[in-house]
Amino acid sequence: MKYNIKTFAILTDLLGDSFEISAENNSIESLKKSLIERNPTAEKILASSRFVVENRFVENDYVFKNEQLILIMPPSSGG
Amino acid sequence: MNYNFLTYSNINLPNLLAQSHHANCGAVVLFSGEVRNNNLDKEVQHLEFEAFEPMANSMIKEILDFAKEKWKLEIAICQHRLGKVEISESAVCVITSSKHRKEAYEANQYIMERVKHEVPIWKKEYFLDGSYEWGNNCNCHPDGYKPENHAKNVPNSFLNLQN
Repeated sequence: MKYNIKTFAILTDLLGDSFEISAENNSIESLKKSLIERNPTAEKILASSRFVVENRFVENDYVFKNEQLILIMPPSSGG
Repeated sequence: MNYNFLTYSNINLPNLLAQSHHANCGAVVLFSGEVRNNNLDKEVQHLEFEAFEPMANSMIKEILDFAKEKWKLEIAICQHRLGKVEISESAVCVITSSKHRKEAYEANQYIMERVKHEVPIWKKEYFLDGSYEWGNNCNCHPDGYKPENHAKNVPNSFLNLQN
């Protein structure tokens, strides 16, 4: 599987802003594994980050499609 | 309706307050979250906020609509700064207007907590020593920043925002 990733805030520092990444299968866990391989220090933040597809937050059992655009959002810190 | 919940300009508190009076309301609560000059035993230079604006706008609107219904508010306003915010400037303003103060206070706090913890807005704190940190200064983490404590799942009401 191949995805287009867009990150925000601290995840941009750790992983890059927009990039393409491959994963073993179409699960969030598989994507997280690939992202952690890209930068192991992102693991803790990724554990509490939210994944967004087509402007919707997706749950942990979401099945991605190949070449999908996935937004990854770290915990909010407004205010 | 044009949702103007995010702004790169200074938040005009007197102007927002002027929009918050209503003949049915005996209580108007205005909360302004402002940038202080110290955090983590370091001197703060300024803050920068970024957001995923389409979702942030939709979510703030939904939070305000929910609060208006739950607390029977006549007026609920929220505006959040993006970009660089200097010391003592308002980073976020929430105003609630209701018949009595109890509802206005409760609703104001509710809106603020949800905006702070759920809406995709991120704070970057710059210190005078040249360092910076993401997402600190959160009062739900008295023993330090623990991102895993922040909400990672959002209510179902936030799904299908574009529908």
